[in-house]
Amino acid sequence: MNEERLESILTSGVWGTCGPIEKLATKKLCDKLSEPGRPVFTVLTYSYSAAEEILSIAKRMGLISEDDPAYPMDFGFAGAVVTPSVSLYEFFYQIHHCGHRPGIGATVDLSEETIVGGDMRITEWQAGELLESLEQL
Amino acid sequence: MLSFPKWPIADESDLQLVREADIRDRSRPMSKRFADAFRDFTKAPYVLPVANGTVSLELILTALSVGPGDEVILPPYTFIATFSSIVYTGATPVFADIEPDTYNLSPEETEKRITSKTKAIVAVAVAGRPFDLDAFEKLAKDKGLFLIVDAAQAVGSTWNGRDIATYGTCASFSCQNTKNLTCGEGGIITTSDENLYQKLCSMVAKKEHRLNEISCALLISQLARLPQQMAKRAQSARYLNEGLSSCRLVQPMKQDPRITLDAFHLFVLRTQMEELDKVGRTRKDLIRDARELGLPLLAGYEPLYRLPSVQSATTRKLIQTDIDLSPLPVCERASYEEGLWLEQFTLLSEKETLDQILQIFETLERRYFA
Repeated sequence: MNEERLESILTSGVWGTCGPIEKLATKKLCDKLSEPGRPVFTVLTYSYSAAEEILSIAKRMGLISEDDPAYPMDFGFAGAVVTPSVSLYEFFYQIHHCGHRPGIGATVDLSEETIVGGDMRITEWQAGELLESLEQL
Repeated sequence: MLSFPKWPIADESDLQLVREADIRDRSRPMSKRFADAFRDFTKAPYVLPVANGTVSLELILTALSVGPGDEVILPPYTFIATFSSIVYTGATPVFADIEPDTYNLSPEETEKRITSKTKAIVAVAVAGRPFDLDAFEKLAKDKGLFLIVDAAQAVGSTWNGRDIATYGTCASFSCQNTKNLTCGEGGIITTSDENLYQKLCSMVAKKEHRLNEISCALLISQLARLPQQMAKRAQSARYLNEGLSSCRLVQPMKQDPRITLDAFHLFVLRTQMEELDKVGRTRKDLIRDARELGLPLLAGYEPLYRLPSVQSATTRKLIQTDIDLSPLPVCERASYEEGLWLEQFTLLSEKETLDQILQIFETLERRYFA
């Protein structure tokens, strides 16, 4: 592991929740998977099983059906749920982040949270690995 | 704003262990090292590091075969994970009220909620303060229920000299970024039941709920700091409680000699509502005015049963039944009138800062009761 990068990760967000490196990795993955005029949205998870669990919970909650466009991805050391639908993305995000909505942290007014979320968040370390892997693709 | 220590605290020793970690090493040496260290620290026979402190609760309930048709009793004064872990299994959550002077689940109120469908109790050590473990262990044994100790905030707490990790069917800890023992995201399960431990290990491996090697490396270095930090938090809490003992604005929580170590993940106070009522003030005024003077007081949890997410149709779909969402009086009072929190890093401050905290309460007391 690159020592300079290691110190950078430790100081910039290893302790954070849905931190800066996760955001960078998410954007990078979305950019890789999107086509002109057809964006996709991604929720990163700590494992492939966690990504599958998000889809399973969303089905049991009645938020998605078998026909809805959403699929899990496996990165070995992490996972993701990918969808072209903004509304599905928002559901998945809430399930993966304790009910918090995208772009809003844990201090959000709880009255705005409408889905009981679990915790499938990726760590900043895993997000760092993913970011590097995507850059090497 | 007062000056508080930055949290988490890390130095070269953390970096050194992280350099040694290899996330692709399938023998998982850091995970084993951390489990051994936590076993030594808590004396819990079996220790399993997992992805986070929400998954840990889900795993425990699933391993105990809690599912649709079962009822699980929990307090409403807790983080949403206590609730989500139950509904994700398909079981029905049943709220029982808390104690007025500890804000922990009341054993008497819990007993009233037990039915033929009750399978488990998830009791939470709110703020790191152990709940009445004697009463809950007896209740669970007498009624043939599983007792799950949600110790997400209570790493290091002891009851009658025994670590909280050694109580109940299982205990669950969180190592999320605000916690007293943290690696950013992480969780720990402890149990004394070997068969249950083996089942949990199998589930964790099969469903990839393991805690990665780098996070385990951080927990090893953070655990080494924990005893000293705990001693400092306890000393600061004693100092603040003594300093506020005659304050007309707030009162300390109940002292209980059976709590031999309190993790103090949060320093909790109760607003003296009757006193504030006399001068037309409320907890909201107190929080606002304290914040203006630099003290970041928090109002704490809202009752879970009032959250739209808990009341939602999607939650009912998960459990295929309704939940009793009736307001519970003690929780209502704690959530909306009385509870005040300071975060744990406040207690790591120097004495000068603690004195400034006491001065802020004195200033507001003089202002309100002039």
